[in-house]
Amino acid sequence: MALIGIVFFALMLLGAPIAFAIGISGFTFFLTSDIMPVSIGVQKIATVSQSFPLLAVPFFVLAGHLMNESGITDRLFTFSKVAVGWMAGGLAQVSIILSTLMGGVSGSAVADAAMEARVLGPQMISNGYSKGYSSAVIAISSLITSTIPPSIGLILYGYVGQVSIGRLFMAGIIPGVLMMTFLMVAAWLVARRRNYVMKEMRKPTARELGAAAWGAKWALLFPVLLIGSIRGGLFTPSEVGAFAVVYAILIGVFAHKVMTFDAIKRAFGHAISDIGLIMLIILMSGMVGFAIIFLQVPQSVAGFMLESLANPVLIVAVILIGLFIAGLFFESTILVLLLTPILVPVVVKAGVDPVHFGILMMTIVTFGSMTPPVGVAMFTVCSLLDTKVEDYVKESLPFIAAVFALICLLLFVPGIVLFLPNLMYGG
Amino acid sequence: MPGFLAKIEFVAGAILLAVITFLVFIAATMRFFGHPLIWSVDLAQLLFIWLCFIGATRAMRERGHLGVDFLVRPFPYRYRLALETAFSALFISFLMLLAVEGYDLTMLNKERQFGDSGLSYAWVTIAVPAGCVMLSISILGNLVQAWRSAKGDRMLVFTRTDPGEEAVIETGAAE
Repeated sequence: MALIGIVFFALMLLGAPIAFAIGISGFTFFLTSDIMPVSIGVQKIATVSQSFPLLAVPFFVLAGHLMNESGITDRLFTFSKVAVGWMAGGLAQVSIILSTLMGGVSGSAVADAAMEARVLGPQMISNGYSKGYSSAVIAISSLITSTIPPSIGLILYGYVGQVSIGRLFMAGIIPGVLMMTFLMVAAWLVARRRNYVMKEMRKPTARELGAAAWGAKWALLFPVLLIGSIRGGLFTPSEVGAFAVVYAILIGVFAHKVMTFDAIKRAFGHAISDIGLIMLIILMSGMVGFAIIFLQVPQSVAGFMLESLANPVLIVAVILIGLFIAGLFFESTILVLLLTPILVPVVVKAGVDPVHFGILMMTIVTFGSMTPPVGVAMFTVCSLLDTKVEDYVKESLPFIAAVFALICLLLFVPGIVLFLPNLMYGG
Repeated sequence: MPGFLAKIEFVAGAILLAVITFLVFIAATMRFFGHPLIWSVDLAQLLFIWLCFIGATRAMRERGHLGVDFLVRPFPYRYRLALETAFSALFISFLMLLAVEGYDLTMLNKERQFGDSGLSYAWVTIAVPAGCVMLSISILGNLVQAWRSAKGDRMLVFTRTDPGEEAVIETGAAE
């Protein structure tokens, strides 16, 4: 195990693509083992692809790219602007609501942050919002997408940790909506003090709100259909993923009439690359995953943690702090794929529901992409809006406080997370 | 030449992705109406590993594979190119080793059936050596491109040098 670890960290810190760092370190186990033939390693790579739940990854990745080409984004933007644009910090509120709604159609935080930085960022700055505040709202609100279904991260967690993806999807809804509420309050408090308001906006009448919602009906309907069709196991998440692809094409071509053949080709192009890079990491981790189980790493980690820490809440808290620190430096996909198989048995032994833990883990590791030193969402937004990282950090403090408050609430009151999955699937 | 290969990859990948989606869509719809199609999902599963490797090859060509480069980023271009060249040699040896083992394994297991569908499991295992060869070819392509650009654009083998840039070569679908 030590050798695997050394090879992995050496390759990773030298900047090798993670798929190869994982693949080569896992391969050293088979090369150095007296009992395991190398061909088993190859077989482990092939076996990984033969899992039906994993098919949800290509479908939801493709559906997300298709939704972006289907005119859904513009309609959700118009709707959000009418609904909350009149509040204090109106455009910030729009950004938060839009992230929540976009989370329901596609699952990528960075893509959401980049889109909002292009669409909303310039408007916020020209309305007198400081650059730091605008960037902080846009980047941190994209965290909401990490738990709202369909979240690619939760699919990966469910696959690697052998946890029901349907339950995870259900469990992510309430935390996602709470995250939206917490961030809106934080944005409102700061904006009211600084008098960030759009003069021309006023509270919409029920009629105007209805008209805007009707304009975005196909986009707003999608999450409802998604939840309806996986409820109680009527369809599996992978099957719903295939429906989502067909739905996105039908909406783009027939309902909104904006999707051309070129747009579909573009979506397929982006999707194939994304699928390739996510799946190569997963395939290559087949070898190291086998080694971890064979060498009984989860048992040793669980034994160690249970011996030294008795209280389950304390164990989860220690793990979450570790994840937060790891999240500052590593991509969330990588952390989910590497650590889930080790951590899930530990938390289960400690008596924590793996669905509950999954939502906390997903939120925390994704949060790393909104903070220095290597946050991808942060750098994307800051470079698009030409914001200094210091300004970003200073202005993001109220939002970071809101996120921490929510994480503590979710940690200590598991019922908030587990209520919907238990209701839909039975406890 | 890389542009031509990239086009083939895109077309093959797009067809696979479309077919897999269609197969699962049809299977789910038929199951809902009480006529399950077992072979449909089995076939989708078989094609999936091919999609993964083709996508991985395409992502490699676009230099899209995720890495942690904050420790090596400050180093001058020459050192980074040398390091990534060493990586290329290491990765290609690794992939070739996997390819040889994978080929032998496939030949051993030719008889094994896939689910209830009568398809040979060899179609799944052979994807590993095939994928390793495809990945090696795209690494070689990137390597040549990087060394040729050493005096001009200063490209690397695995890492995008300009963080904002999208695909660096004509890949059929983009734009």
